[in-house]
Amino acid sequence: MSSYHPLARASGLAFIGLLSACHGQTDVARSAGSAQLGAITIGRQACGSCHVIPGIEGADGRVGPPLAHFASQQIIAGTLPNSPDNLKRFLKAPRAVVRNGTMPDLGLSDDQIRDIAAYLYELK
Amino acid sequence: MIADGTRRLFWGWLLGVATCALAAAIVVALILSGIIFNTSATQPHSKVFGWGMHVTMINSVARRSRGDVPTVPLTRETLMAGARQYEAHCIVCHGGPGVARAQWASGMLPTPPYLIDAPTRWSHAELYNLVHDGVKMTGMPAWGEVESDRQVAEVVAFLEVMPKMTPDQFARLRQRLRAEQAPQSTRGAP
Repeated sequence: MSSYHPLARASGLAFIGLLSACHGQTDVARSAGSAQLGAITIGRQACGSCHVIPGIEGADGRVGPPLAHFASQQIIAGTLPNSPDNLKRFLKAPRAVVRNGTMPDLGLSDDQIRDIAAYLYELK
Repeated sequence: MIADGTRRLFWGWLLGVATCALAAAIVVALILSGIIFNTSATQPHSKVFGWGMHVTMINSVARRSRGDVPTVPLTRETLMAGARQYEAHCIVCHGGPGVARAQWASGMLPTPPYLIDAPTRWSHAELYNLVHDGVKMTGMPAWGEVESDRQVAEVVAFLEVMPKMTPDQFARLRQRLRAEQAPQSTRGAP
C-alpha cells in the first residue's frame, strides 16, 4: 500500500498506547478493527469535508450523507442493506457500488477499512 | 502603615510577575527544544489546538475578504481555463466529484479537504483570497505569487461551478483536457 500507511499505523498505535496506558503497543489485537485507528484514518482521508461525522474534529461536510447514527442506518450508499460486509464492499470500491457516485475510490487498505467500519458502527 | 501595606503589595505583585515569567520561560524552552510539541505529520493535533487553528484561519480569511476581488464572466472559455488550472494544480490535493486526491495527500497534516461544498463554506471573495494568498502552515501555496489575478479568478469560477457537475460530466471534462494537452503528433496519428 501507500508509504504513509505504516506511519499512520505506528502513530495510531502510539495514540492508543497513550489512551490506555495499560496496553503496550504490541498487544493490540488486529482482528476486528480499531475505532481509535478508524478515527485517525477518517481524519487523514478528509472524510469530514463531505460528511458530518460525530467525534471527528471539523467533520461538517454537506456533500454526502451525514454519518451520525450510522449503526442504526438501514440502507447505506442509498442502495445496500447496512451490514459490515456491505460497508467494506462500498469503501473498497465505492464507484463499483454506485456507478456515477461522487464518493471516490480512496485506495484504502483492508486494515484501514476495518478500522473505519469499527468507528462508524460505534455511532449508534 | 499605608506606605508599608503598599510596599508589601508591590513586592507581592512583583513576585507574582516573576513567577509567571519563569513559568512562561520554562514552557517556551520546552516548546523550542522540541520536547512538548511534536512537529511530525503523523501526530494529529489535539482537538482543542486543531479547532483553534481552524477557527483562526476561518476568521482571518473572512477579515481579509471584505473588499471586492476580481471576477471573470462565466463563459465557456473562462471555465475551461479554470478547469485546466484545477487539473494542473488543485486536483492532486483536493480531488473532485468522483475523483480521490493523490494517496500522499492523506499523509499531510492538516490534510487538504475535498472542495465540493467549498462554495457553500466560503464566499467568492474568500475563495479568491484563499487561492491567491494561500494558507500558512497547511501546505496551501499562495497561487497569486505565480499566477495572474485573472488566472486565480478563473479557477475560483470553476470551483464555484464544480459542485453542479455530475462525476460523469467531470470525468468527460478531464478527458477533454487530457486530449488538449496531448502532443499534436500523437493526436493526428493514424
